[in-house]
Amino acid sequence: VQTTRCTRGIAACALVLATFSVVLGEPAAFLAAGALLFFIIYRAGVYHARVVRIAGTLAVSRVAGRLMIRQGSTIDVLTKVTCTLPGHMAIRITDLPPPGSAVTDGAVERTLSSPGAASTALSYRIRILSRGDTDFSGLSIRVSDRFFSEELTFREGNFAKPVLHVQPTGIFEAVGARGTTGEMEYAKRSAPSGYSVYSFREYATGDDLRRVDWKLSAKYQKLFVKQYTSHIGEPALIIVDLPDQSGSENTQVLNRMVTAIEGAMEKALRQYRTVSLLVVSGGNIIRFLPAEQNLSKLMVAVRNMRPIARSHHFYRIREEFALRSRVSGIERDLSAVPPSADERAYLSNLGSVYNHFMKDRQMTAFEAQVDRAMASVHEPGAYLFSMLEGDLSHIRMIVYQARRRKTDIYLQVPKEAYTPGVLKSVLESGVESIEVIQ
Amino acid sequence: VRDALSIALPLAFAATALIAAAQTEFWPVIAVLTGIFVLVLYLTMALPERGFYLICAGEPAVVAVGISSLLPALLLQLLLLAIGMHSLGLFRSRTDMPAFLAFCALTLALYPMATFFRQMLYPVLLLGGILGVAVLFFTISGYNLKKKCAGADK
Repeated sequence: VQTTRCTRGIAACALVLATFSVVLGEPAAFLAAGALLFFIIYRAGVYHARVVRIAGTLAVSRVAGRLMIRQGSTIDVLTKVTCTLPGHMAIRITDLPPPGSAVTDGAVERTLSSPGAASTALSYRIRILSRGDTDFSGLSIRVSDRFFSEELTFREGNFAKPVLHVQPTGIFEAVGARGTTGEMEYAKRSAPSGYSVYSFREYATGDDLRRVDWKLSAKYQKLFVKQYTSHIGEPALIIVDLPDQSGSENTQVLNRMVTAIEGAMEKALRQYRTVSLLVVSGGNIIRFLPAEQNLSKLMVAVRNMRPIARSHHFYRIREEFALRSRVSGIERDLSAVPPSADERAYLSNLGSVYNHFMKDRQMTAFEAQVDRAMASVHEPGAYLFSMLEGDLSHIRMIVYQARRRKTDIYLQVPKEAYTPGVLKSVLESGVESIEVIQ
Repeated sequence: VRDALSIALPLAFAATALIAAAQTEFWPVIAVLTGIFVLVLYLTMALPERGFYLICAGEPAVVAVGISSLLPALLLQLLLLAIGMHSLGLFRSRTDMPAFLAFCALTLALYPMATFFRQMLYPVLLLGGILGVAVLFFTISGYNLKKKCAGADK
């Protein structure tokens, strides 16, 4: 429970009067001080009873546009909240979207202050960036009167419903549309060897038809699709991207990230007995501990993490994967353009420039080191912890190197770095999933 | 009734203070302090936290009256808190007044405490103890409520 300025002022007044009564032995000052303190206690009692009443009458019904969705897609959410509000109280309602989602449109917050039965509807749109079955984080209310305020979070039952089934992207993702200027191309990925079917579910709009299990569908007269095992357990490779020393010095966020890294290391160590830790800062390799079994050694390495002065930056270097996809895109466009068109000359010149550029491109030392680190640990997945500050070229390079090695990258970012624009660009580079460190 | 209270309560406060002042030799001090309260009452009419300013402005008059006689001071203190509550708009619902009267009855218990002890240290310590128990009670209740809301006890 937090006190308002008015309550703090009355308490200060009571304290002054109590001191006055003790020093001068004056009963009148004691009487005044006692009455003020009793007044605060009385108001606290009234406030508490009203908060309990509000909490008892609060009800929510939440409707999501779709329950089965694809990772990265947006859905509309409508949350209706009803409660009975006593007099002199205001309540600020905040709907909490699922973890790993970003609000792209609408409002998740509203304030009610009229006494009696009150209801409100919150309509907003979210983009789901994580995958798997995920429910809403609940509903938060801040109840306040003239003297006190308190925040309550409801996470059970209807407050967390509905559950969203988020399907991962990428197993048979179709190649995206490309224009002459070369928009983003989605990587075509096949189910890697070692992926096996672990369950079936009903077909949802947008599912690839190649995933349909025709035998099962014929048997039940309903379309069923296969679900592949992708990532099981915790990755045993942890990559940490330390922030730049010249950037924002948010030690609180860094400490929270360090705590999350420690948790991930402990889990992975329990499961695999070894953990590999790669620490980078921008385009600089800081430390690499391959297949480490000693938890305390890992913990020491993690706890000493501080922002590092970055000496190398890669914002002028085009990644090899990006160059290749660009060249293949230009070739595809060339085949679609008629031979007599003016655009053909431009495209063939552009393709030639890119081809020469790609031939001369040397692998950077950073890419080589990251590649060596990934090759030495042979992990199918890796956690990448980053605050996503400043230039993100090195993140894309790590992701591309991981893709070369068929290693999935699971990005973990603090909630402060959780801006839809940045996350979208990282997600487009091929990150398997993004999770938010709360 | 609301408008009537906004005039009646300050009038009752000023009248009680002046009547109590008439019984003492330092009545000019009480009269001046009451005048200051009335001035603050006028000057803070448009302020949002008027109740707090009025309580602060009225306390010197309450203490001054209490130096000579405690019972009128206690009455003045309760009137002052009623003025403060009314200024904050807290007398609007039906349940507010009975709750406030219950609080007034509880506050009357302070009178024997103030008269029983010769030194004020012990009653102040007692007051601190009561406050501590209240804080503990509300902290535990608040914690339980938060736990219940979050569903942690299931």
